[in-house]
Formats: sequence, structure tokens, C-alpha cells
Amino acid sequence: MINRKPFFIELELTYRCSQQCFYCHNPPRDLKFYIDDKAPKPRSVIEMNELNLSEWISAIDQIKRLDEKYEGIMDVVVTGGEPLLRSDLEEILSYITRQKLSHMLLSSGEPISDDRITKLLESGLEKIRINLTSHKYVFNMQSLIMHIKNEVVKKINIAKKFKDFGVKEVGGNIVLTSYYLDFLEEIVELAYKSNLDWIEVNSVYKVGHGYINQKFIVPDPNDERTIQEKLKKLIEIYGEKFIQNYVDTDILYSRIPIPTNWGEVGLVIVPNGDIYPGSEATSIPLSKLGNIKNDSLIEIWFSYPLLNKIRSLSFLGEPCKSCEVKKLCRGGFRFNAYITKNDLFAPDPSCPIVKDYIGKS
Amino acid sequence: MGVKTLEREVSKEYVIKKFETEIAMKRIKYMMYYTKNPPIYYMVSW
Repeated sequence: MINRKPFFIELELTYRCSQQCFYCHNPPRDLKFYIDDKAPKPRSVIEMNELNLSEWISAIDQIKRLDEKYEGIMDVVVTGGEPLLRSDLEEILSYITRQKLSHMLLSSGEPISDDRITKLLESGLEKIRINLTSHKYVFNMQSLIMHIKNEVVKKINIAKKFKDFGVKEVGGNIVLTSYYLDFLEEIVELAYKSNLDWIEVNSVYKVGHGYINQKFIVPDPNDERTIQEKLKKLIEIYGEKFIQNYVDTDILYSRIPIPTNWGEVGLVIVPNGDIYPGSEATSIPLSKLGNIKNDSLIEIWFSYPLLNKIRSLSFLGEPCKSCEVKKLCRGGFRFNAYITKNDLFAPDPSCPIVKDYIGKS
Repeated sequence: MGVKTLEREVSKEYVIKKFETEIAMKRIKYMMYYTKNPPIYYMVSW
């Protein structure tokens, strides 16, 4: 079914976090998905026992075996929650480096100190992406703009510090929520002047807390043209290498389904070692593929029935089975199927073709 | 920062055209990128 390794293995070392991102994809504590109308729901993540250092080392040994035995290019993405909250992050990174695995750290950059940056560098850190947008201060509506700006400046300064200390590649991540839309140009300009290597602009994805808080964080549809024009202009000014634009407003406003990438892109290992087929899948207990302490990563990637079923598209019913773009859409977003039907294999109800089919039948 | 209500509907033809052009290109670029370059992080879709 597939003859190459995944593009990346994501290690979510902890669900603890120093931030308050309303779009966080980590699974909410109660795993109940509803769209909150009253106020953004603060981040509150499911509790689980984290793997200890020796268990993560064993997990990395498995990743190494997958990397060396099979065709392709693979990265280890180290993230969380906030990975800096693991006091053994340096040991984990050192081990990944010693195994000669390509890796990247995704972090909010907090909490950090000069000493910690030095230790991370000594552990082999070469590539880090700092998340520039969180919502820590949005409950303070009186001085919201000032708090948002201060927060971004602080994050860019942290990113710059990583760069100044000698980390080779330092990028920034902007999740384009309604809170940040007005400041997009300012953030990008400051990041550019601070010598960051790239800025990713990502959409809000309606998964995890992003699903629950969508009414407050998805930019107003009336701003669609503004979003497109702002991004176009930024790419013209700074180039596609610096501005990595992943915003598709048709996806943002649920006009087209998000393609399923399970079984094609990567695997996610969550803090307790459970393995999932995607970052949004960590909110879907039905999509759990195993646990790194007991199961083989190689067997899961190449042979797990759920992944093969998704890869083969054999799960598709009508109208997807007969759809001319099924090989591109791949059945649409499984998170949507799960939360609306409690069924991993149901058609994605966000697709207009599915909506039309259901309306007629 | 209010609650959004206005969402534009699109036709079946629009969805198919979007996938056959933009999404297909994104997918090809993504797959080609990974055959040559160190991976970037982009987990949710193409």
C-alpha cells in the first residue's frame, strides 16, 4: 500500500503549556465538541501520564529503525503542548541528534533563559519554529490591542535570541485568528527585520479547541478579500520563501472539505505514547493506532488496517465513491465525520457535494 | 470579534474545479518537495 516512510513523526512530549491558544489542536479535557457561543473557552487539555525519558529514548530508537530501513525523507517534529516545560527536553533532543535524525522544535519560546538556549544548542538544535500568536491576554478587553502587540514583540524577540545564539533556522508561526488579522503586516515586518528565516501563516483549523472556539477566532467572512489581499501583498514584498502561506479561505470558511492525509504524511505520538494518524486525530479516540511502548511503529505505518483502508479509499461510500475528485479530496476531513456522525468513515458533511447528496436522498 | 454568520455557499462545479486545479497543484508541489528537501511542518492538509 505504501513503500516509503512518513514525512514526519511528531512527538507531543507534553500537553502542559505556557500559552492560551484558542485554536490549540490538543484534545480538550472532556472530549466534548460543541461550538461555544458565549465566550472563547480557555485551553483545558485531557490529562495523561507522560512518557519518561527512557520511554521517549525507546520511542526514538523505533523512529530510527523506521528511518534507516525505508525509502524517503523523514523529520522528527518535537512539540507539545509546550516542549520547553519538559526539563529533559535537552536529553531528548541530544538523543535524536545522536541518532542523526533530522529534527525541528515547535515551541512558544516560553519559558526560556539564555542558559536554556545554550543547552538546547548543545543538544543539537538547528531548527525551531516559534509560535508568535497566542491568546493569553484576550480576556483583558480593556487594553487588548496593547497586549496583543506586546505579546508578539516579546515572541519575536525570543525568536531573534535563538537566532543570535546561533540556531541555524528560526521561523515564526502566525495562526490567522480574528485577533491577529489587523496586525499581520506589522508582525511580518518586525519578524523580517529581526532576521527570522521564515514566517508561516496558517489558517485556523476547526479541530480541538479550534472547533469549540471557532465563532470567536475565525476571521469574519466579510474580511475574506482583506485576508487574500494582505497575503498577496506580503508575498510580493517578502517573497514566497519568507512568507509560507497556508491560508485557503475556501477551507477556512468550510466551502470545500479538507483532504484526508492520514497514512500519507505522518504519525503523531502523544504524551502517554499513544499513536495517532494526524494532529487533529488526537481528539478522536477511534483513530488511535497503538502505543509506542507496546506496538511497532513500522508495523503501524505500513500495515495498520485503518491506515490501509484510508489509503485505498475503500472506506468511501456515496457520494464520495463516485466523485471525480476523490483521489484529491480522499474523502474529506475525518474529524468532521467523527464529530457529526461518530463514524470515522462517514462522508465529510462540510463538502457541498455531500450536502447536496444528503438533501436529495 | 463577534460571532460570524455570513458564509457563502459554493456549487459542486466550484468544488471540483478547485480540487482539480489548486488542490491538485498544492499536492504535487508538496509531494515533490518531500522527495528533495528536508521536511517542513504542515500537518493538517496539503
